[in-house]
Amino acid sequence: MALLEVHDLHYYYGNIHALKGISFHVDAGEMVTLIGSNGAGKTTTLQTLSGLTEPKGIRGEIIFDGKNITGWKGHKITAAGMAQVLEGRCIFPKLTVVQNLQMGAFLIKDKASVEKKIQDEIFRLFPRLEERKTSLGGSLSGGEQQMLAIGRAMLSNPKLLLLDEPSMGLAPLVVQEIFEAIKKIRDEGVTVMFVEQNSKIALNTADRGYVLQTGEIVMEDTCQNLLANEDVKKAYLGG
Amino acid sequence: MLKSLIIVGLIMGSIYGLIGLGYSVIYRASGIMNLAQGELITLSAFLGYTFFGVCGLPYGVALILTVVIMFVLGVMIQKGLVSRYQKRGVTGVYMLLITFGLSRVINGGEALIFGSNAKRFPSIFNVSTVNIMGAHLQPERIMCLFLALISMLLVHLFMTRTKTGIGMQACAMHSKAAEACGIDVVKSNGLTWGLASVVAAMCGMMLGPIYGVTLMLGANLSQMGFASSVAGGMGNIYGAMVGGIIIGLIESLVGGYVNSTWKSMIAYLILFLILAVRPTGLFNEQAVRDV
Amino acid sequence: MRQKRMLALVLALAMMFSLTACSGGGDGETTAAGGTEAAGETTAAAGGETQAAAEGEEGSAQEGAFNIGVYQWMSGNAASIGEEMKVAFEIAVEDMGGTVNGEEVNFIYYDTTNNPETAVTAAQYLIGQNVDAVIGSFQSSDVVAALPYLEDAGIVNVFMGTSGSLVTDDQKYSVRGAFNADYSIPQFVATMQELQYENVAVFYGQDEASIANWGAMEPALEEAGLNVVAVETGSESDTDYSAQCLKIVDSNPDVVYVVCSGAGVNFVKQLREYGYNGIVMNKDEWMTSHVDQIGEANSQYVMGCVAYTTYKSIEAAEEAGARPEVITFLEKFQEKTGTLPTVGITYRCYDSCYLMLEAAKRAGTNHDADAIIEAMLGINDISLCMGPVDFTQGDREPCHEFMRTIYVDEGSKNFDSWLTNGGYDAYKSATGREK
Repeated sequence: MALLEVHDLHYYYGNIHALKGISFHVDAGEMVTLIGSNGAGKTTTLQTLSGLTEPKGIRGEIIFDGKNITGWKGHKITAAGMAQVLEGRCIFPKLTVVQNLQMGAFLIKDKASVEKKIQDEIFRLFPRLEERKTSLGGSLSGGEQQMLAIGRAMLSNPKLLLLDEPSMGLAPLVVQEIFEAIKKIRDEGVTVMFVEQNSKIALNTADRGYVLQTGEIVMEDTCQNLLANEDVKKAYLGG
Repeated sequence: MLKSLIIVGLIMGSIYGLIGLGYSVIYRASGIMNLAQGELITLSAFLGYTFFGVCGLPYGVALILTVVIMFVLGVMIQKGLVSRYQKRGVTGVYMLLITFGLSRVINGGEALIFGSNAKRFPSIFNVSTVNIMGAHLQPERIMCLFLALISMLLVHLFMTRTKTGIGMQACAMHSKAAEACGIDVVKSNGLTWGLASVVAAMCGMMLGPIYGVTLMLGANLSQMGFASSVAGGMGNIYGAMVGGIIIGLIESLVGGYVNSTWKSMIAYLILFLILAVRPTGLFNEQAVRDV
Repeated sequence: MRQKRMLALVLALAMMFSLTACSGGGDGETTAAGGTEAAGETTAAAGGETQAAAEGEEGSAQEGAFNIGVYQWMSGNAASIGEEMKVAFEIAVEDMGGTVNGEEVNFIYYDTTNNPETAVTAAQYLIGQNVDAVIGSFQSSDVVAALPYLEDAGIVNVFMGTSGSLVTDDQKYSVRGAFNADYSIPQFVATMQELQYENVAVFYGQDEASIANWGAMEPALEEAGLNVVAVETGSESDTDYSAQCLKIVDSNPDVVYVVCSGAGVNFVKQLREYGYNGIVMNKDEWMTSHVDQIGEANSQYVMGCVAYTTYKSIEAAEEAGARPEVITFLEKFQEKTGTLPTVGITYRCYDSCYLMLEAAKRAGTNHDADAIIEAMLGINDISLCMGPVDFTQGDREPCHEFMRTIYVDEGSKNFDSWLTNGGYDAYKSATGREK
């Protein structure tokens, strides 16, 4: 049984048919990526998984950790163990770094364990955040905000971490840093799924990949094979 | 007399500050400018009058009952009115209109149920006036000063030190991200309005004994309360308090040394000056969301 | 950033304008209630609630009757006043013997709904109905609006407003059937001299009647050699009078004179709370509704100088030394309704109606305005609720001497007997004041 199974998922924004019956799965412990160009439906997919879109537009099934979470509200899905790093970071600009992280741990009752996790795990993963811990979120650089967003999502102790375009708007060196951190997270045992427009780094980091085109999954394979695939190379890897 | 004027100014200022707090709480946690806040104060005074004056319950009981009822009302307004319109995309100036309309509806309801005559909110204390440092003051006013300061402190601590309070602010900054953190945004929004209504309830219960219960009670005083929160930085909790005290002191001193007809005008002129120098208020509060 | 600044400025400007618009002064609803007593009863808390009840007429002219038109605010907050007025008229007609000059008396009512413009419509309607006479509103603003039309049409009318400016030299057919509110001034000043006061503090409201009254009081005080140590002003619709109260208390006056629509009820409350416990001379009568609003403790030692006042019971009226005419009227009123009048306006209604009927009787006709007004101006030999009526003093006013009252020990008492029975000494020891 996969950690996440999606069966024939459709999504409608009013009359716009954004997702046209996609199916995929993520096994525990692996890293999966969903690549596609702008407007393919990547963000819609991720936000629907996390319960952040209007439930009335959903058709199909989402099974997470054995439970059917289709139509659940966002905060309930986070409580069930699936956290997301939203597109564009979306950190809380007027809260400090520490407060942002604490918001990620909203559901955790034990304050001491939260403090411990922030100190031992998050700050170890992202030392830069510790340096800036009393700064307001809005004053951080793009890369620092991305780290903060990831750290915040991690604080809910997720089984599955979703990331929406983690490389967006970041300089290449910073992108490297971020993806190194994502790999470390996976090594610690957290299942990871991310959508990316930067297909090169996506396919070079993840285990398996799906290709999303205008709301439909057109290809599914290991990343190694996708990297070698002629069509993929032409469409997404620049020849 | 200067001493009396300053004391009076501080008391009035704390009242304005507490009123302004209601506006700031909602703004900080939802980006909405709630024009119905003043009317919620009037309603609270009427409720308090009903429990304390008509039913004869002790003041403390009346206070608790009023606070609870207003809390529930605040949550109902958020769930039944505000969030419905927000779902349809109503924001900014249009939401302003909705809150204004709400205030007129509440006012009309009050007139229907309670009539338009002023009502007497019985005194809480047995004496009409006490002597504090040479100044004669109504004891209710002094109680008001303490309650206002304590309330402001509690609200501030709640909003900045508790998880729920910080969560409220997070919801205003980015509701999707807050939901993704595991915060029940719907519940949080309801709580925000409930909190602001509780602040209004405190105001109403304190202003009733001082000024009597009239249909215009909230409307008259909330103008200054609103100005206080703007002056301090809309959304800033400390700002509302500081802004209120500044305006209260100015009003009192101008009324005492110049002319009582001018005191409001001069207070507003000072407000203009503050905004001209610091458009985001004394505490430099960037808008949560531009209206 | 610029946009935010603009918006903030615009909002602040809007608030400032709405504030100045609301604060009494001018012709908002606060002052539409004109005569101070009116706003007193109804405490029509500034703005808004004056629901225009069915604007309209009640009754119509009848052949072979003495048709008396009546224009007055009779709905909404004044509904009870309207009801009491009708009872008062009924008693006046009965006291007259039921008919005048052999004809039944027929009243035609027109509700002015607290709006002077409607008073004009009322006057025009009544003129159109060819009424023989008119009894006019207790609200001075209504009278100011309607009176010229009645004069033009040559209709004899008695009005009930009390503002000093209502009677003018060019009037021919109009007289007042109530008291002139400014006539209390000489008696107030005389009282101050009697009690050997030197320093007087004043609070006057921003409504027309109060400003006019202060305009007449100021020179009177000066002439009497009294020291005005503080003059403060405010509006009935203000909520907070802290600054004014502080300054007045600080000036340490012997007495405070208050003239403000609604009897300055909220001002008096705050004045007491800020520590002034001496006598308050209030131009308006201190009614039970005022006591209800601010409590017994704050109402203590409020002195009035009025033609008449309301009482909680007939016993209280007798104890307070009310005029025999008032007691008789109260007894008849109670017989008809089971209660006593709640407002002083009801006395005005009785007096005005009785005067109109009496003048017609003396003129021997109900339909000749000139004859009726001539007879009216000759009346100086009867006594009504207002006391001895004397129209022959050349000022078109019937009432020249008021009753001094003081609110003390939970009731309105006769000031003169209070003085002679040691009340003033009791007051001094209770308040710790020298004067």
